[in-house]
Amino acid sequence: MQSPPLWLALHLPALPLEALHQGLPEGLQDLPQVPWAVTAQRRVVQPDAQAQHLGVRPGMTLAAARSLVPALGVLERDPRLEQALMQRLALALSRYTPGLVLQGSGQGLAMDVTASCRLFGGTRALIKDAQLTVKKIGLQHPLWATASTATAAGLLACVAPGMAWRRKPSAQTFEPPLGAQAPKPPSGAQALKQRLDALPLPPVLVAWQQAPALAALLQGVGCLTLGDVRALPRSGLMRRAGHGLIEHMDRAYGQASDLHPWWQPPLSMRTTLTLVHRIDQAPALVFAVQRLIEPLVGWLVQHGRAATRLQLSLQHETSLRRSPLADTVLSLSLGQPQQDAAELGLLLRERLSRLRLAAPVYGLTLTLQESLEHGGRTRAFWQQGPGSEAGPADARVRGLVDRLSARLGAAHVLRAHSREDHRPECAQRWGHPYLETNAQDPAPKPAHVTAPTAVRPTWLLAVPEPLQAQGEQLLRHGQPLVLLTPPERVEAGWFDERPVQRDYHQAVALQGPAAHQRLWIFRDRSSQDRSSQDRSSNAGQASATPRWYVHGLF
Amino acid sequence: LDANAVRNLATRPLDEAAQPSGWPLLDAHLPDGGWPLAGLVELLVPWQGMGTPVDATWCVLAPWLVRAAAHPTRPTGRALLCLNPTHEPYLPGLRAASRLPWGQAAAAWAATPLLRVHTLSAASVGAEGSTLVQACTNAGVAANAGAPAATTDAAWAAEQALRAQACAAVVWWSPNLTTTMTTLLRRLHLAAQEGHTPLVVVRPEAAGALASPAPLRVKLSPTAPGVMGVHVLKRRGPVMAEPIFLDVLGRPGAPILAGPHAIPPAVVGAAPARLAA
Repeated sequence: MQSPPLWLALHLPALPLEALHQGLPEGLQDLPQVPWAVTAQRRVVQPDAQAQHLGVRPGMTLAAARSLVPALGVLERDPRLEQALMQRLALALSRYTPGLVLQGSGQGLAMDVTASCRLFGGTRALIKDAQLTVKKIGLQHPLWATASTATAAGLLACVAPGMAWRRKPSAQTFEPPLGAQAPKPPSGAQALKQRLDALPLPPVLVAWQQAPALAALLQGVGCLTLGDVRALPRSGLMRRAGHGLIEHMDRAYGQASDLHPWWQPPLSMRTTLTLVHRIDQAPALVFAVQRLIEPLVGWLVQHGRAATRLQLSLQHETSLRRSPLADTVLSLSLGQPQQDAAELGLLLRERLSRLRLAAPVYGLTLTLQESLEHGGRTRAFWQQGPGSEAGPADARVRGLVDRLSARLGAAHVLRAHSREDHRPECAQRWGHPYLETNAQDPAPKPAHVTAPTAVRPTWLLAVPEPLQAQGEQLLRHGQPLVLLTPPERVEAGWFDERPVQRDYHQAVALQGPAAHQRLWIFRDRSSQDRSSQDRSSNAGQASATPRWYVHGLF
Repeated sequence: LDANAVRNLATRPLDEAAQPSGWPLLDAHLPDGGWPLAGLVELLVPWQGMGTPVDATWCVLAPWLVRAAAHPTRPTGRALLCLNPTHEPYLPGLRAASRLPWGQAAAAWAATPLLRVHTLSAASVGAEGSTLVQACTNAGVAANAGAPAATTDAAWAAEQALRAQACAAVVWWSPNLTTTMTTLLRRLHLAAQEGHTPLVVVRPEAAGALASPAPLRVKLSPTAPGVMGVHVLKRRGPVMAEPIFLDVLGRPGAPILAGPHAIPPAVVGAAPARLAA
């Protein structure tokens, strides 16, 4: 059975204020500080709660508002920021459904969740999830409503917000006559009609942007609710009120087809957030990153993709007086493609927590540079083991490497790659854990150059440690060394300009703090050749160059 | 699938408590007959100054770690994570030290990603494109590993690795001897148990005097070339009276030692070494 259509609508009555407040962290928005008001052309558009409490009303001139509240903070309305905020909101919500409609002069949004409820675990779960997402974007006071048509849902969110199921049938108090059957709760369409009929008329006309003269006319004929207007003769209403009101009503009640232009997601993902105040410390940018990640995740989910490369650029002040400073750019390469807001947030947070800002930041831009197709996560049929919910082991290693390199830097998280080479320092190369596989040798083969009989140490010193020689005795930390093995000669590297000519021995010191530590030492024969040439010309200098080195520890 | 099969899968023991160490002599002295497969293990090694520990730990660890990584039914991944190692772990040597036939050892290490993570002080991590590990000297890495910032970062990295269940084992070299370390280890022991991953902390011998939350503390001391003394200081069960000695030369055809304390006569006779002409 096909489920009845369900639209979820969101209305932002304080959009001008919230768009400007997007650049403030959550805690600061509610702090009792100066009252704020958004103005346009020296008239108050939107006072915040504190200013409203002090008597500032929309439509006041700025001078009047200032005379009421001398400490009023004034923000100039910025339609660009409002559009950007609605765009981010639509992107973040597009993870629930592709059917999104912007309405109500850009302050509202309706989404067709008919087909999505089951996927998200029911209508209530979906709405709870959506409310949480909207909160994470930083919107404080959104109004929600559900209805079976987009127009009705938008109107209810605007005029009488609330979910349909919160109204229990018993709350509508009318007592059935004795002996009569209790009336059945009204069906969906009937309930919607009742809710719409009861709406007070003036806010409805404002929401539908009708002329103020029409409101006066309808009030003059005694219409107080939307139901009263519907009861008027249709032809007369059409003549006096025009086509607009009738069409809105028909659409809301489901009597005319309710068609809207769908909201189109952008082809590439790039979101920008402008900050109200400058931010000096990188960790304080975390709240802003959270607001950019939710739209990104919405885009990724809707397109069925997962991010592999992201770029976060921080804009510094562009003042004419100073020389312009280039944006700070953070690149994030992900080995494990990510679609999860929490994981992406963690990675960007770790990067930011280690960053030292060169200059205060005034804005952020998050760009998705590369993404992969991603089918989503499959759920296990039953609990398999403690690790199974985190995905396959390979994906977990990649996720771990991403997290570690986000905090410590990619140069600090390395993996050993084996290579076939006789030179000990070239037989193993430290590289990126998975991005660079053995690129230099295209066909990685099991390293069998080192025959089982050739002994190699378990530790290799990145820089060989020179040994002192006292007469004919080798010394390490002042302790004499004993050679344990005959020399193993290594001569290679003539082909790539890094030739080595060495004789390797195992050695050990029998006394001292490092006693019984087996060492892997070598004598550099190339320097011997050189020094013997030197000796023939200049005998005094040759002994200064050390020819014995420790290269490894067992 | 019938209901029984589902129930069996659900109640199947996740992993054994311990994994044989590769040294039968040592297994006899470890609880459950091997190194634990979850939780904290503390190894105390001679560590002179801040720079270079006398490190023959791989001879004891490598056989166990490669077997733990290859374990077929463990829920964790195969990677081995070395946190702040004092030098570069060297794969050809680890292959030889793993006490497996040559072909098996090569295959096992080829399938085991060996990760090395360094947590130096925050100043060295720049905004973009910082490269330093390759350039910094051995002494610099080891000296920095004891700094408080590096310890905090290393503890964070260890906890991430343990909770992610991505690694077969995590080995952390830390010269830090402060009480903060004890607190960190307690937290990490819990993370290691929840993550079903063993965490091995290699610390200086002096840490033996400090309290530790580790249920297994083992002191390693090389007593002669190729002889490793192993003393289990703390374990479930009776106290170990005296150390055992392992012949860690690990090479077929190596000089056979007469007794645990004996230095091979060939070595004594050869001293002092003559510089080859």
